[in-house]
Amino acid sequence: MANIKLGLTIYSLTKEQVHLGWSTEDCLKVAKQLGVTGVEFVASQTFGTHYPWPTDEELYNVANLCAKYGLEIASYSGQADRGKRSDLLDLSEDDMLAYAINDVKCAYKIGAKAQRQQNNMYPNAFKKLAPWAEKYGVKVGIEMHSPMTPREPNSEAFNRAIEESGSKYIGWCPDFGMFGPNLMLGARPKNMSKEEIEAFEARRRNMLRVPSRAGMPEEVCLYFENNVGKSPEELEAGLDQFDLTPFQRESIHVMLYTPDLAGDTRDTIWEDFESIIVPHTVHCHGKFTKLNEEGDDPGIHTSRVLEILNRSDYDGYISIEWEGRTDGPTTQVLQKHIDFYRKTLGIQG
Amino acid sequence: MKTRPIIDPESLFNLYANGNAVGFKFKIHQNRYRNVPLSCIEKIVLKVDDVEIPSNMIHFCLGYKKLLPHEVADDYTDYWAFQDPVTIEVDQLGGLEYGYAHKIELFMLAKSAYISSPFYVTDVENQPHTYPTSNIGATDSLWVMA
Repeated sequence: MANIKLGLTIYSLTKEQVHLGWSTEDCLKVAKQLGVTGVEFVASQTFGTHYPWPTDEELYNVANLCAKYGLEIASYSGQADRGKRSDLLDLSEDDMLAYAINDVKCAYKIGAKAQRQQNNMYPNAFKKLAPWAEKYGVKVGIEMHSPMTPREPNSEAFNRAIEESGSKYIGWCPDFGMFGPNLMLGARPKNMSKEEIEAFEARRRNMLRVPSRAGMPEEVCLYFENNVGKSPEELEAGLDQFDLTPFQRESIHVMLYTPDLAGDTRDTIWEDFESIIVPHTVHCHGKFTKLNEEGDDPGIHTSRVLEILNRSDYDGYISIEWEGRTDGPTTQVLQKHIDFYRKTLGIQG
Repeated sequence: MKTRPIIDPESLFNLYANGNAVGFKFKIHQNRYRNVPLSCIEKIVLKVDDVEIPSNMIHFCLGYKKLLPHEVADDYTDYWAFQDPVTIEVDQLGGLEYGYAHKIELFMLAKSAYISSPFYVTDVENQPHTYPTSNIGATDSLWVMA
């Protein structure tokens, strides 16, 4: 019997923090108003001045603020900055393990039950993290973030690490964006309804819009924004007007044409999620970028995800994560989606 | 919603010594959702009124740190949060002419250290990764405030 609690990742309020100068406390007040019982922090955001080495004072201040508003800390989310050195191609496995241990330590200090780690982590270092996670009492999940799928080689390497560790303290943190139509990247499947096409294109645009995701210039993102509904061939032909690097062209090409990024796994993604990921899930990201009338993201089919989780033994948080765009208050879309979760799960918190 | 400009529009000031203008400065922000390790800023190019400023005359000032562009790229122990402003100081005899708007073009190529690319292919352990980059700078016209 699952025990699912609802949280809010403070990342959902990025726009307010960056452009309106909201403080962490401002965000916590909103979380409280929304009625969730826990919050998640992207540590490189909340502790941006010093992350990955936030001071104890910074950690305790935020922990105290959460206590003030009666909010649990669902997750302290780390960042696997494997490429951060300019003089090396990649950080070593040992260095990545050191940073991961430090993230666990910070999660412990702040009182977080779980910790998100990113898939840039070395699977072998992740396995070595297990005894540390156990001693500190913090469960660490590799974020399965689109375009990852449960059966691709990288996922299987992490699965092996989890299995071989024999530990319940390392596992997965599925981000529900993984269920987006055709994983948001490949050519648009045929026979989609109008609503599904819109959701698909919105997610593809979102993928391209995040410049850090593919290093896309803003004008290219706008180009996709303004050409919704065109075929991959037409979209690619229009790219000549932009001065793109070979990598950017290649990335776009793959986004547009790869019908299925993970081989045959798309057809079985729901079954694979239930049989492979859910048994090792330690934390969840309730990603959404668009809402229908009912408050679900039509591209993700959140109710189907929740149905699977609800019949599992999952005991933990789903952090609601808004990654769409709205000119209006983010709090309204958050409230609508949270209400949808409550209704679907039949829970109050 | 109003978005915060990368270059603070009211931050362009000349720097003086002995009554002589010896440079100028302006304030910038980064608008990413997370902090940027300074070492991820691989390149900084500044043009003012279409003229490129020599790299050794540019100083990137974050907190108590003052760094040349190549020192920024080498600094993997400091981080730039979106909450923290950075001041760009430039040594330039004569400063910038007061009473005019000046075109500031700041190009900062920043790597996303947590996203491996190509992100769509098999990620074999120990396979070297590459990382996408994008410009986190901006272009704007600013009046010299003093």
